[in-house]
Amino acid sequence: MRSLDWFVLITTLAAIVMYGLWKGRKQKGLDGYLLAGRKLQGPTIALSIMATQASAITFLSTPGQAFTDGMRFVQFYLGLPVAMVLLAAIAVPIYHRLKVFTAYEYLETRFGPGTRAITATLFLIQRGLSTGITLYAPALIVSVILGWNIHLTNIVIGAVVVLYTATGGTKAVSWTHVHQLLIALGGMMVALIIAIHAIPSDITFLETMKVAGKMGRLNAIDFSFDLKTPYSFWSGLIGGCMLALSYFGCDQSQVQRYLTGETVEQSRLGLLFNGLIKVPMQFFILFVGAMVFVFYQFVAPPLFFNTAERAKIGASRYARAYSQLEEKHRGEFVEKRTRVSELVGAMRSGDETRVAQATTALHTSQAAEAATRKQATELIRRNDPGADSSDTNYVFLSFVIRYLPRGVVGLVLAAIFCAAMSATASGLNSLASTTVIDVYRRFIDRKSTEHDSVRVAKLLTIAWGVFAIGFAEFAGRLGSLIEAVNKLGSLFYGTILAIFVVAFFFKEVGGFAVCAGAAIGEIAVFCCALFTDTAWLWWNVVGCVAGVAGALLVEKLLPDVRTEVAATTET
Amino acid sequence: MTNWRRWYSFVLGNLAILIALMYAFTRYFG
Repeated sequence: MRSLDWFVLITTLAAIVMYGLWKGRKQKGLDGYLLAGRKLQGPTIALSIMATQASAITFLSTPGQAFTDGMRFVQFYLGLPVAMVLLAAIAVPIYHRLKVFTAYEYLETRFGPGTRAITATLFLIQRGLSTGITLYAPALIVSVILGWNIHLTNIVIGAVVVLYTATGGTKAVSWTHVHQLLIALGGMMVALIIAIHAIPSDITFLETMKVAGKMGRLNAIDFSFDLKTPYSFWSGLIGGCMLALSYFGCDQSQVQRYLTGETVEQSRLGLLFNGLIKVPMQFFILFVGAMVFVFYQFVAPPLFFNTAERAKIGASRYARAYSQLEEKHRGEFVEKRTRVSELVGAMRSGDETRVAQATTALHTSQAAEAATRKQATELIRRNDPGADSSDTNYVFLSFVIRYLPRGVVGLVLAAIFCAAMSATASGLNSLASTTVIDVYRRFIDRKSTEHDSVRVAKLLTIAWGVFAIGFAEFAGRLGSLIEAVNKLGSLFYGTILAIFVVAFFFKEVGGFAVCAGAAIGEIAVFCCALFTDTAWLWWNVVGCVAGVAGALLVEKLLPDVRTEVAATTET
Repeated sequence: MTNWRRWYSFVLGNLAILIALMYAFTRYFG
């Protein structure tokens, strides 16, 4: 990195932190600290919601996803607008009417303190671990590509986020989100323009798109129905809707964003703006990846993008075999580039038969190159079974560092760190809120004054920050457990959604039945995950449907238990 | 008074148009 890049990066991040500290000064009471005084407007809420969901991994991994697998990942977001409409219509008025601080507070009014405690605890575990990963993942990628010290990166970014989140509370978090998201999208836009500009000038933009399409990278929509396909129209619309309902309706890191709305109208507008913008935004980020893919049809890509793993195998007994594969890969690249030129020539001639032949020939070269890449990953795994054999996360940053001009590299890095900071800030902010509202003020000190509670919330933000940084420091040694933690979250989302669905729609169901239903839902999800090949987006549907059905069934079959439990609680 | 039904229809209509456009995009370039 050059000095201009450092200047852009440090200035941008410093400006964001100063802005957060300035915006977050003068906070009054718990309402002011945890919910920005409930005074935010729709557009601010929308950008804050989007910045919370878009972590650094979104901007690093999504273009890599398009590079390796095409644009079909966009379908993952198709259910989101539907979920936004449902939440705006149903959840927002309820949360506003009850003037709750957390989503779990509402559950106590419906089912009693037990259900509130269970869901709040599940949230604290899941969000606590994932906030650590939110910090760790970009630090790992940046340390591999740029050679930075991963521990120092974790600590500096974590400490900076803790500084403005603890002092300024939700107001600082929400307002910095606005600027962080705009910087992140601006950085991606600049990267896209430069990627398109770097493609040889003898090929037009339309031809570029057609080449990407023929090579299977513009496959945005797939209507085929297959439970094993991870991203299709149906899994995205149905499974994605359930996941979005659970994430935006029951996860405090998101609920807290729209609870800051001045009125029901503003909170609703925040969610609906998110529903309008999210799909095009993800399409745009994937499109950046597709253009990076086209760029690498004319400029030779490395055989494997993860430089740390490349260095490891270069120093191992497989070094010779790997360099032979690199040589083979270079030859295949030259051949593939010739095939691409032939395809462009065929398209210009307008001869459909020639286009079909050129496409088939290109597919053959593409398959040969993919086979060589597969051999390389097998070699990397043979050398070190614990090695990171997927280089999807490294494709985009590797492109940025090698081919973007000075200054722009700093801007894109600032964009990635802004995204990491925005997601981490929401995580810490919501963890502190849930701990102070659902644990401290509910079970530890019920007579705590507002002043005391704000002080405790600030201390808890710092404590959760230290936990997240600590977990991020430790995460490298956990290896595959990181993936396990991520999957763990999606195992519970459907069931938590079931609890909220019962709370909203089935007033006759009591606390015992909903807990029993949640247990049934969880068993169904685990059976699905362990014994079938069902793609994970469908787990959310299974958990929610089985949870709601189970709660209704238990309520119907054992209505007496509810009465007995209620009687016991009253005495 | 905001007409929320119109807002909800707008968001869902926008989604339908996006799906149609992305499908056309997939078919045209694929």
